[in-house]
Amino acid sequence: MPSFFTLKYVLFMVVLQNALAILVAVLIESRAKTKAFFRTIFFMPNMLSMIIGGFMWMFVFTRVLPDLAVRTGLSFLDRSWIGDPSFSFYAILIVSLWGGVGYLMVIYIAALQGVPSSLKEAAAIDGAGVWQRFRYITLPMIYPALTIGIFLTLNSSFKVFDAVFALTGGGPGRETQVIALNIFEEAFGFSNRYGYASAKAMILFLIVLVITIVQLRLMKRREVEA
Amino acid sequence: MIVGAAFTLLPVYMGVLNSVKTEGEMLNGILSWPRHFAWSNYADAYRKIDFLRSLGNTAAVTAVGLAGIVLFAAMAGYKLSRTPGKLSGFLFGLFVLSMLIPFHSIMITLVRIAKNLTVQGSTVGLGLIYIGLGVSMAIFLYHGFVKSIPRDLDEAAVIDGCGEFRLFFAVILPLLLPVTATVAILNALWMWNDFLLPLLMLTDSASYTLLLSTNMLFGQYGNNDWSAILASLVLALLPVVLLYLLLQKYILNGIADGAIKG
Repeated sequence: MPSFFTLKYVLFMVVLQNALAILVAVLIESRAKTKAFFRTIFFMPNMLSMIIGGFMWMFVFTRVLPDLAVRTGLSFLDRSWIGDPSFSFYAILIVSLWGGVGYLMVIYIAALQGVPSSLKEAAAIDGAGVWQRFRYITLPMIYPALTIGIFLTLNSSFKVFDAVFALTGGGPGRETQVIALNIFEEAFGFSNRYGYASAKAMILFLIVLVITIVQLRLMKRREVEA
Repeated sequence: MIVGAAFTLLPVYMGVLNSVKTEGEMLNGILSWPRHFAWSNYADAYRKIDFLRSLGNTAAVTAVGLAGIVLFAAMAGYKLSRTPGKLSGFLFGLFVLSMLIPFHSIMITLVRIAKNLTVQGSTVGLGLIYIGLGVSMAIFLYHGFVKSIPRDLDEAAVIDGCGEFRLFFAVILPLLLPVTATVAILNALWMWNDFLLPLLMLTDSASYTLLLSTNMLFGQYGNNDWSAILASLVLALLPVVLLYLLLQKYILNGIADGAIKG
């Protein structure tokens, strides 16, 4: 169970975190005056511990959203966000994205600033639309940053601990237990199975190692020079 | 864009807003502006998490870790970069390799070793462990930066009669300042916000860090006294947010540098 839950989480995180970070970075870069203001806000969660962020979100999920549902009649907000595993997966995802997008955003902003505007202008003169310019000019140019971004997301989301610990603690039962939490519980919970937990930890290490090496190899090959 | 920013601020805003309400007022309206400010929540929280002591513990751990990481990594990165050869290459490779190992893979053995060395439970001991965990990436960053400092400087200093130590501390270390800033920011953030290692290492509530003290407020079965919890969460995040607003420029640059070179 923990490994399946973690895999699902990693998959969602790799796609959503990078897509959202690129989106936010592009939107911020396209603003002239309020750029610094929005960058400050979006990066702020990254400064806080995910434990504190997780506790604050727990208040939002258990108290604010039910209250909001009653007041506005938006009944879909009134769920057992923490108690029901099918919803708490999304709760964990939301908290992780909240905490993680800002960090990747900084990397993508740095990459976007390195894209020469002459290329985009040339494409615009040739009749390329906004989407086409992004897809065929900007995206290939920030590909090295994408390699780093996906590498960092893979690395961190396989090892996710704080957000899950703060929100659900792995419960109910073991429904939302991620691998890191499982290792932690095996070793330092009731059973103290150090050897068994160490074996699991080694397998986690090998899985992360193999997946990230494959990812780096595949993506490095596709990087282009301007 | 504005929706996204509002979403980002939502939990913090809700936390601050409701931290000055009493439990009864919270029931009346989570979203509404507080009718009177219950500052007693903060006094209560201050006492419950033993704010000054927890803050002091967190600061002590971070300070010990940071001083050690900067000192040892700067020296090692400098020496490894200046004396190329098989041995240096091998040692440097070992440091880079250790960056790849996830913390969870070694945490069990780490805790056992700490117990045997009797550093488990002390803030200084925790700082020492952070030095060990943090130096490898710092060495990597210093190693890359030292290459950009011309060797002529070393030679000129030696001709002027500089010893090995004086050369490093008086000539090289000041020149390393930009990368030292990056290393300091990345590591300070990591140590200040780390939860799992302190949870494993600190056994006595007198040496708890801010995060551990806050974590202790949560009851096992969800009967949480939110007004005290929110007030202590705000207290715990206040130092970080203040520092962030003051040093934003350096922090954002440091993060970008660290990610691209790391």
